[in-house]
Amino acid sequence: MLAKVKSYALSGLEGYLVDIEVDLRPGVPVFDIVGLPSSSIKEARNRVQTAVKNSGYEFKGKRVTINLAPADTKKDGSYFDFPMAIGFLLSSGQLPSDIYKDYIMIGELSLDGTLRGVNGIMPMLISALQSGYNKFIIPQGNVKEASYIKGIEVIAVDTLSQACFFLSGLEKIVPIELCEYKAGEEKNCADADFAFVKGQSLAKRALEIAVAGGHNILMSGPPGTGKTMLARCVPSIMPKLSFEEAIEITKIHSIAGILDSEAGIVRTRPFRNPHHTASSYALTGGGSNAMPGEVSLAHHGVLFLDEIPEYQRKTLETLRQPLEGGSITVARVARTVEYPARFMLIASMNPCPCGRGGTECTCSAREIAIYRNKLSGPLLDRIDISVTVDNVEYDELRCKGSSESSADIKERVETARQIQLERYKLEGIFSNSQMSNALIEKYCAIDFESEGLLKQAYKRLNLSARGTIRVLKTARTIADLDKAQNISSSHLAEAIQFRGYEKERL
Amino acid sequence: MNYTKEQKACIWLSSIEGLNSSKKIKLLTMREHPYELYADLRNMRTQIIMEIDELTYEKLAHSKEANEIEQHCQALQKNGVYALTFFDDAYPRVLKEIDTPPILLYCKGDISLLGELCIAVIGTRAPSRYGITITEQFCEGLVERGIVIVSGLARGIDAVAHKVALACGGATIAVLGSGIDVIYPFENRNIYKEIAENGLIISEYKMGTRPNAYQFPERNRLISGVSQGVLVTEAGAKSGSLITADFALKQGKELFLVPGNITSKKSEGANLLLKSVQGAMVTNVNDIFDALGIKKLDLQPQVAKLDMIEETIVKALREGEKHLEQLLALTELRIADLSAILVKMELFGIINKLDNNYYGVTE
Repeated sequence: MLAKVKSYALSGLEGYLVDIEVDLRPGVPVFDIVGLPSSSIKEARNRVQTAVKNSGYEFKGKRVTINLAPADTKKDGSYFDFPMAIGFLLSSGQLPSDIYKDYIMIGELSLDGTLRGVNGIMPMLISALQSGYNKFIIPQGNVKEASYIKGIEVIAVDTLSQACFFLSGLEKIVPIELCEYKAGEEKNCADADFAFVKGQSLAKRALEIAVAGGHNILMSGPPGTGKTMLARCVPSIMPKLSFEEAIEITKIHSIAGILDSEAGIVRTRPFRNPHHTASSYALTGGGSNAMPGEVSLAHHGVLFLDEIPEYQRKTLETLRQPLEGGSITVARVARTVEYPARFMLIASMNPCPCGRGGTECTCSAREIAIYRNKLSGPLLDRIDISVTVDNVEYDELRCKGSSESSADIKERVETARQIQLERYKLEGIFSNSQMSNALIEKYCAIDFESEGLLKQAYKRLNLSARGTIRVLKTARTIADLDKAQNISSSHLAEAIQFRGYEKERL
Repeated sequence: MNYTKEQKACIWLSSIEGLNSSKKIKLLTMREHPYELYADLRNMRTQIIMEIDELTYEKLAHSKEANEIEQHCQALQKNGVYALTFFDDAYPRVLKEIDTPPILLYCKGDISLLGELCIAVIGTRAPSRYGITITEQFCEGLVERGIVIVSGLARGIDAVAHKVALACGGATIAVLGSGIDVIYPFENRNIYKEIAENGLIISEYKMGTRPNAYQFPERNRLISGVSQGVLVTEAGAKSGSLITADFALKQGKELFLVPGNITSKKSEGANLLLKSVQGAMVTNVNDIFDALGIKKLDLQPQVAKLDMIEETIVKALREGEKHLEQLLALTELRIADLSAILVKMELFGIINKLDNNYYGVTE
């Protein structure tokens, strides 16, 4: 007898329907799975057999053939265990059910028959919903994740037998309730708040501007000056995560398997801090099944590259596409996937290889040049703001006056972001950092006095043409933070302070 | 360009490797006219071999036989290089007075600059912000009085000196330690091009010579040689500028040293030299003009209209360098306002941004 059970699989962020056809006939007892299964799916035969037996059903010695349709797409993961077992029970006549055809079933089986949660539930459910399927049976472990999706009926089960009771009508299970999304604050502010950072007013201000305008930022300074601490505080001043953003992030984190199953959704902006030994694939995503990399995991959050010249140059260059377009295409033999990757880049570096910088530096000019040249021009062009973080003297650590808290800064940032959203409604961008040259011309008009300032900056500070573009973008953000319509000379002057890192400078 | 027989002899001799300047001069002055060396080479064989070794003589003879001199002249023409020989009128007199003047200077650009009042501005290849700033200040002052700035086209202070001279519309001479068509370091290629057009580049090495390490000390004697004075703005303990300073003293040129921070490694060399050389210390460009007998500049800063806050900042900075945080506490301004004010003051030359977010007043 033949049974057909519906399940779902993922290719990148998009899901597709998989029909699991189970056929049973007399013959040599063999358990065959066809339809390009990966080895984790092939191993399902043992899990299914044992789980079926341990749930109190019989596994008779018959020839079992399971086909995963569409048969020409390579499939991976363990989410077919559960539908395969149901399919087997149906075709062996041990499970009388009329309603099984309505449901899409996803889940991994444990040997004792319990269902384990799987990765990627949220993108699968959303994608299935878009294709018109709205009834699901999933493991209890994935409940939280599923409860944020509107318009679906989700039955959560603990064990295979519970699912069988439900499908045969012996037990009623109430679909899970929809959860209300609330942007979280509880986690990210406890230890990382700008109120705890003493001194470093300039760096804090630079970060505020960077967040307000979505600019990427480079902090340079000797070791131990608090660059990492400052970067860790950045998520606490970023605007609250909207539901749509939260869903986008959760989808990616769900696929990568780093989603907290208790929370079920990502409420706070991610802060990703890959070590400098990371390969380019770790950053961009890859592997045979094109998993998302750090740039995608940092989507709508912060990607912090500490000691950026220590990264391999090849690795850094891969950042250019996501920095420009806000997404990354990961192409592999099996599949080509596009992941979103709109993140804020925070990079840090020492002034020179010895780290001391200034008059105490002992590096040769050549060493410094090699160190700095690891950052290519095109990459630096995408970093609008650079700031020097310096050693804070002991008495400054205890200096009077408390620092501003992250909450206060966040308020200003949100206002500035709102102004930008309003302004760029028709331009198809979200923040000042994304302005093209034409838009800069349109929105960054400067007055006569500012013109004079820029000229002085050319002369005295070797400001380059590209540097000017970055300065203008930054000035626009500073004006927005000030809620000013036009860029004033003070805004411009402050932006010059944070002018991008200039390679030619001696 | 047609060269005379005399000049050709110099061009020919300077293209021979393995001879230093003093030997070359000796060979050229053996007879009454330098070109006789070329014309009468074979007859002078024994005399020459007594001065130099036989192998080098063979080189000379071979080069003459192959008539390489014409090739050299053509190559010079093609590259827009003029060969200025020891026997030319345009050859700077000050250079003739040094121990071993080069018999030939390869020149690219305006050779009349060699006759002007030249001051060498040199220093470390890895300058601090302080070094850069004072180099800029001194060069601006020197250029204002029409003085030609001589330097070595190296990284750091040299490059700053050249750049300021060019930017202020002044004249500058670059003395290379490699062949005149070899740009070293290559990162200064833009400065090289600009000087070739608006200044003068000279080298004593034949075209195509690599920048070998031993040539740089040799080159340094020319930097001080063509100049009336040498200004060292920042030099570490082992800086090559100290060699130039040494040459300046030996050649009887004026030596000017700018004192540096005693805790800074990059000022060690200049400070050390200051202790031993009496009267070399200069703290502004007028000290140089004083020594050279040139009319001083009015260094009073243009009375920029300062408002109250700016006044406060300048007053505080006159007492010593201050960190941004200190200024912040002093003025009680928001960081946004203060940094805007500081940048404006920096751009108008009232204050300087130093390393690590420290600020200092310019005068």
